Amino acid sequence: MPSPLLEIDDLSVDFRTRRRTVRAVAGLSLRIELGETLGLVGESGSGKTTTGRAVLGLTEATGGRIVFDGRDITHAGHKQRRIWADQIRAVFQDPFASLNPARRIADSLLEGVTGSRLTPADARARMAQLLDRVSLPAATADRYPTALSGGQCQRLAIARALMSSPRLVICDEPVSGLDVSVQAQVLNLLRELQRESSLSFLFIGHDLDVVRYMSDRIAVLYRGQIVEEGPAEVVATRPSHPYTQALVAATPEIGVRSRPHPRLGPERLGDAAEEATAGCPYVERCPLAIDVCRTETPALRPGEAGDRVACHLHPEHPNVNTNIQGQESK
Amino acid sequence: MVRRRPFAAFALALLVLVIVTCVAAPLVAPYPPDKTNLLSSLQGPSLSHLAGTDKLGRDTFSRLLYGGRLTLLYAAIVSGVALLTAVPLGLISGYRGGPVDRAIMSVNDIGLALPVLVVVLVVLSVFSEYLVIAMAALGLLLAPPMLRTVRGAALAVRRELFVDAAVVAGLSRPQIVFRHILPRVRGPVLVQSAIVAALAVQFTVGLSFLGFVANPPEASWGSIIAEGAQVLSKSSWMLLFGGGITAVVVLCLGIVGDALRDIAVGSWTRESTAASRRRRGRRRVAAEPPAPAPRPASSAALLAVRGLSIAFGEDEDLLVARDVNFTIEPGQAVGLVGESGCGKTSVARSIIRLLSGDGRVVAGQIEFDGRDVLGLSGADLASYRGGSVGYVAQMPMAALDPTVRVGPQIEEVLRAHESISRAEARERTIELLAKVRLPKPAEVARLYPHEISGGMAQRVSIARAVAAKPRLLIADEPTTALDVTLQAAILDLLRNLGRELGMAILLVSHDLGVVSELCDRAMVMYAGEIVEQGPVDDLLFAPAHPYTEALAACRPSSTTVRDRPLLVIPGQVPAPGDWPRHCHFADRCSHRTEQCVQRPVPIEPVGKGRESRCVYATEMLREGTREKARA
Repeated sequence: MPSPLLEIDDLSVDFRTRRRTVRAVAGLSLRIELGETLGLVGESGSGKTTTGRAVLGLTEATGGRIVFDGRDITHAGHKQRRIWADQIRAVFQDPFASLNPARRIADSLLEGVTGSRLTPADARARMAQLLDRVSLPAATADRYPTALSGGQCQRLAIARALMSSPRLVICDEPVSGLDVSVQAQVLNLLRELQRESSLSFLFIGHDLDVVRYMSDRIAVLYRGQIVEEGPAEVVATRPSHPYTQALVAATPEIGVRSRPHPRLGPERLGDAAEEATAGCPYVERCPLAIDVCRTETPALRPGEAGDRVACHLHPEHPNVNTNIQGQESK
Repeated sequence: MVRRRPFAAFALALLVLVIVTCVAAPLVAPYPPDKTNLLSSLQGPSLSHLAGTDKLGRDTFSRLLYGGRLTLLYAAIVSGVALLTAVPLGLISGYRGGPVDRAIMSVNDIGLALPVLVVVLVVLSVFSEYLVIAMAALGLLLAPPMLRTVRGAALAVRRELFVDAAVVAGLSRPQIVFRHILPRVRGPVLVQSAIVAALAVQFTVGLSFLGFVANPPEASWGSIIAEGAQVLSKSSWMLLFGGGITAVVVLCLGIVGDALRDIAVGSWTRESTAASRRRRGRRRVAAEPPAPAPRPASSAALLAVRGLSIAFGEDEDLLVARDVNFTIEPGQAVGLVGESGCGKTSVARSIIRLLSGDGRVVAGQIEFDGRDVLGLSGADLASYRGGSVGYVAQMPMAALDPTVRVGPQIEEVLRAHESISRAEARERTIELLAKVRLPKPAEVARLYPHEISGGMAQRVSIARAVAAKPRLLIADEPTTALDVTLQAAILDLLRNLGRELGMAILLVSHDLGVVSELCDRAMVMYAGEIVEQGPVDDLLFAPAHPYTEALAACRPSSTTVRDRPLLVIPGQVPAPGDWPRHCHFADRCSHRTEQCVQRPVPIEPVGKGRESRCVYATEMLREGTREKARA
């Protein structure tokens, strides 16, 4: 079996504040093959952004390993990272904040290839080609980011990410800040670019429909742990974990008004990732929780449809689920 | 610069003039600086001695120029050392943080605690032969306050996404600091540089006044002032000129520094304002036809908006919404849908009389329960806001005062609208927090906004908005900043609250999916106009306007085919002022024909309770039914 492009093994990330330590990512493992898109879904505080930042080296990993293309990059320093930095790039959520307002767009685009093999003339040619590819006029290069709309800025951020012909792009909620109509433009663009140059994406999002459309496989994160992982179609339409089911139920669907409401427990006070407890991370909001859920952390176990689920009730629980629904309708 | 900032340009010219003439003193000065003439001592200004003469009859003007060379040279050394120390160290300290920051700042704090003048006098007495060393020491002593400011500015931008992006792009640390952090903080750096330069001039003059800088017969501005002070009883000219030139240079440095800051920061904001000015200019040429006369609303309406037009900017005609007509019946949930920049928030905010900035209603009427909203003022307006109409904003955290606990923020609304005691208000607040389904409401009431999550904050702001039992709740993108699970819960809550309190809801959103979950009817806005309105199900399943159809289609759903590209609406919403005279959507429309670009398209009834602003509305409906029949 060929080694994957990116392999994350038992990754943990802790944030230390003055009073306590918060575990943002807790023993997460996943892999991305060449040319594949892995979707990472979860709500805010679930650790999905932190995972992406750990891969990018923007957040220090507390434990575990991150292996990119056979090379352990977990604790690579700033200097080491620069050697292969042209292979991993990122598109961030806020298109305005990710471009320096004080610099011309050309400066932002060209700096990503300084030190690479490209001559300045080649770099300029590549910039012109990419601007055209993301449907922005060539004159954009001489302007400042404030002159552009959110959608234009995000397309520019994509162009910047591709300047160095990377192999992996971390897309951290790239369309969450955009209008629905502009979202579609950006999503289409990302998919076309992927097809053209066999890119791999780590696509982070909270909208399951968007992530399903973009991804080959989806991993669902809850409080820093993967609760379900598998082919996009299976996870997004026939989920097995109660949390994924709640996510699916919560996604607004045009024309579906009288759908069953997500049976989510009450929100907890404060930070979602605050206290690390024994047992299933989802136990406090899970409508199906049984005693064992409070004492033992469930491991990811393979399901029937090629997915893996971390739930004590799996694979029996779909039946439990229907029973409860039956009771409710009575 | 000359036209936009004449005063600063004058100051800069003056500064350059002083510096150039001082540097060129040997060429410009009418006399050598030490040429004595005891016959003409202590004269006032005259043609032969522009600034008079001193005790020994030396020409003060020439001495000012020669003295300026010395003074400005040392001032330049002082400020140069201060800048070269403070800027790089401040940037590194702010960007790196951690131990590096702590080390630099500890040394800096010690520097701040040193008495500048005393230390410089000590250094001067030790290195009396090497004035440059003393001046460099002075520069080092002036650096700490500036270092602190630069560090603070850098600290504020080090966590910005563009810095992360630069790290990801593989830039080295010096590249990040000098290409990204420095340009971003150049505003405070320029202002601080001007302040330090002015301080350096003052200190140099002060030291030379004390006799340290210039060795007689050498001149400096400080020594001229000192000599002037000695002969003050006989002539005040020397003091006047010596002090005057110092004051002028210091003042000019301040003015030029401020102007440079504005220009440096303006380089990345000016472009957009220029563009908007250009648009405004074009706007005046192609004026819209006058809005048609407002139509009478049905008498049962709770809210009736008729012929509403809203304008922003100084020009009367930069419209952001034009001829908007709709009504909301009591207890009804109505959606207002469209992309950003279509004017939906402006319409929503005009209903509660909260248009931001210089926005204002330029035409039309808003009637709430038979009352004219636009005519309200004073106490009536205050009781209308909150009492009759509640408002929930998009950013829940920004809508709550971070310095006040959650409970009192709701209590104050209750007490503003009803005469109840503090204890009663507290009790009612806890009831309200329970009503928006917050766990442990009494506990939540005692928390500060930063201690609760975004979803809870939105519940709190909903509780506050419905505290005075308004009959209409305006929710402006209430779920856009939230996760899907929270979004579903908040929509649920709004639906139940509306039912329970018999409250009408106006939901503003860019997502038709969200609107379809909560609302019975919806208006679709595009580029300042309502393009379609009707029952939500009709809009979704049989749209009578291509924009509505496209909005519904471009959102990926759980049934979207993954191998096919998503439907897109090409291009973007035209900015206010760039609207075409014909159908506003024509340029992006897939159904467009010649007929669409000839004249403005009016909004017309199509079927029961529906209106559409499309020349092909009836055809779209007919085709829709045919397709359904086939399926």
